[in-house]
Amino acid sequence: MKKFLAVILALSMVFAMVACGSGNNAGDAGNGNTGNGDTGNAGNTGDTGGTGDVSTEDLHFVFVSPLLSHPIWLIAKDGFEAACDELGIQGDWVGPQGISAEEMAQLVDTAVAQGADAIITQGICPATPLENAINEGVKVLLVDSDLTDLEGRLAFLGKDLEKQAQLMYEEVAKVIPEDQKIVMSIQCADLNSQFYVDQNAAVEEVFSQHPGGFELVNTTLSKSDKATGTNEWLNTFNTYPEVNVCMNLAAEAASACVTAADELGITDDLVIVGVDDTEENLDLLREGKILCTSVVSFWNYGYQAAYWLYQNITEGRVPEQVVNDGGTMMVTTENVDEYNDLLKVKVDLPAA
Amino acid sequence: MKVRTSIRTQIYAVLALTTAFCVIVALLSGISTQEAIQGTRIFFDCNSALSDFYVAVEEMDSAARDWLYSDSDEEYERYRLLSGQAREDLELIRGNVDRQLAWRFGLLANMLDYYQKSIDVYLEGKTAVYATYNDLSYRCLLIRNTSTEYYTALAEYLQANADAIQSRWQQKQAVQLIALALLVVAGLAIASTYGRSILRPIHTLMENARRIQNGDFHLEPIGEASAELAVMADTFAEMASQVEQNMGVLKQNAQLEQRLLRQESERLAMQNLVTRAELRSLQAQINPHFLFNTLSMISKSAYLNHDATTSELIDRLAEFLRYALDKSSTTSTLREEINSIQNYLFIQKKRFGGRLDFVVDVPEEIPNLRMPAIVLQPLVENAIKHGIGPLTDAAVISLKIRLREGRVRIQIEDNGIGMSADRLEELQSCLKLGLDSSGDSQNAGIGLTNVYRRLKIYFGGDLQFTIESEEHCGTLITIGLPLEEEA
Repeated sequence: MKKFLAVILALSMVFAMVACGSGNNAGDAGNGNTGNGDTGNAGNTGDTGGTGDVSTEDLHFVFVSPLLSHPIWLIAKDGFEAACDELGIQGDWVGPQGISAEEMAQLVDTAVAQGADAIITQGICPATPLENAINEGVKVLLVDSDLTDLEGRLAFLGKDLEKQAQLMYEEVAKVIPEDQKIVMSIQCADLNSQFYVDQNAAVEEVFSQHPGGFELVNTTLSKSDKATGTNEWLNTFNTYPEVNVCMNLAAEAASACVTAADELGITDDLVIVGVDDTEENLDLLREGKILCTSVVSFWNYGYQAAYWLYQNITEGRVPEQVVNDGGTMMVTTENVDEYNDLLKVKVDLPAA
Repeated sequence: MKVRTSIRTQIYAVLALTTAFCVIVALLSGISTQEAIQGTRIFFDCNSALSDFYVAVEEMDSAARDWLYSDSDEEYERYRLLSGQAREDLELIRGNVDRQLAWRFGLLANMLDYYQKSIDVYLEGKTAVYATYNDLSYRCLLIRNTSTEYYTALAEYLQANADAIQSRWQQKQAVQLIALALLVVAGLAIASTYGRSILRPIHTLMENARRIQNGDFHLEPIGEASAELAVMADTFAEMASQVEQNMGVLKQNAQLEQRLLRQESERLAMQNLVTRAELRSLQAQINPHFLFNTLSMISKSAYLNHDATTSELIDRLAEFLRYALDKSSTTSTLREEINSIQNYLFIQKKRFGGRLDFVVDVPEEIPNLRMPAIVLQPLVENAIKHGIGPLTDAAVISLKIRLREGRVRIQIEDNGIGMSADRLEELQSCLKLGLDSSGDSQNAGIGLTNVYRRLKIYFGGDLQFTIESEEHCGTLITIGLPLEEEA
């Protein structure tokens, strides 16, 4: 009995010592990373300073998103973080809350000042800070919309606007007879960006070939805001009741269009086309309220872009061409459930 | 052989174990508190350092732009000093946060480098003052704009750290409470166990003591016990065994003594019978009827011849002898003894004439005790024969009887030649051993020893018998008799 008690006491002492001594690393659970908090690399001292003479663990990539929390861009964020995790590099996801080229420019400058090794951003960002970044030795890769004048960018991954317009027309043509005139109104996010200008132009060019005739009666801006987009569509429907094809070239525009059409009870009279595979767009597609939605792989905007930059920095690989299709495809009721896997196919850069 | 642990060792071991446990719990509690304090200190230090960093950056930028305008070495030096301070602030933070956050604060250091790079380019003459001024302002703006992000990051980190510290603190408190609870439980269990291990043997020892008190020496074993109690129990058992042995020896001795006493008693009874037989034999030597008839006839004849003195002498003699023969049954009374001795003295007085004086002093109140017969006569005869015999005149023999201290004290004293100390001692030894004083009882008559023996047989231990004598000063025999034997 006495030995048993002695053992109990000894065990109590060990238990107290072990328990009180443990958990000293629990404080490390707090992650101060305000960008990509899941990078998981603790080896970087922050003194990366540039490229070429750093180990892969010291690499710091910054994704300057046009919208910090927009659902479609959050898909890109997931891809970017997955790549950073797999590659073991530091990754920061930054961006303005609303569309702001100036703020994006400042974020690019900040990344350069902080010694980032690579920057991924969208073409809305002004070229000047990106040129500066390239001059500072930072690798730059554009996604979604290109800056064709930007010399030295590693690559562009994005929509093939002509392909997108052609696919859209093919779907519309399935429901609009050849002899029926297409009366179209376009809604995009912003017209200050060349991307939107080019996108609109491509649509107009393809649809103008419709045998029954084509007329673009109005172009409105959603400014990346659904409420704004809805108002614009209401105004459009009231002003142009003859519109039969609604071309939504911003992610939120299609749902704004459906909202406005539902309000006016004319949804069934309209052919609504959208872009991007937001959950809302996919739901509307399944409900049959929109005809189709054009998608590119936002996942690959983050995932493949990070891989390409990594392969370029560490292995010197370069893409065969600067402008690359990000996987433009049309989602319809027929492929809505399986298209997603097709968007996550990564294509590596060719060996140097 | 099982090794027993002493109570002291056991108590010391328990105390040492308990003390060590308490010390460890207290130390861990202290460490935990120290950690919490350290966490709080880091929180304030880091916040303060971050605030100082941004202040230093602003002042650094101001100094740099002043330098651009004034080209003052003093301003440039001030810029470098503030830049260094800003870096020190960053290093302080980086030294107190985890690696991830330290890396992130390293980006701020990079921004300071980026800021310095603009100055370096200017110093190389590649840019103009105005452009550099605007560039520095912009780069400072970039740093400034990070403040929200970094304050937030630091606050989140410190909050998480504080939560972790608090969580650990609570865990440790819980652990300490559990440990203390275990200590209390274990302490109580130990106290109970050790208490039982001490009290149970003591109880058994007490039970054994009770058994011994009741004469049962079959002791119950104390079982498992400490070394001290085991020694005590062994000693107790040994002592009990010895007591049992001693009691057996005492019992045997008592039985032996009883047997000896019985034998002694039988021996004395036998001696008594022998004495009685001897007395009867002596008494039987006298032909009583013939003697008394003859003496009566002589007395009457003397009386008829007008010799009254002779007649009285013969009468006294006859009375004396009748007493001696009648009391051959061994017992008489004190009065009869006195009467007999007066007859004897009358005859002796006629014999010695004026040479011898007899004093008989017997008060009336002296009780008439029952006692052996013919006790006083031999003693008086001895006084006459051995004490007074050589004296020519003024010889005195006195017989005094007194009542003293619940006893009848008979004193027979003469003023004769007495005896030497050696002779007195020899006489007393003979009395004690039951031997005749002269070694010839015939010559000594019935004798002193005979008297003493008969008195001793009759009164037993209640008899007092002393002889006092000094050479040329006489002899005193004192006999103390108990009052119970009153006739």
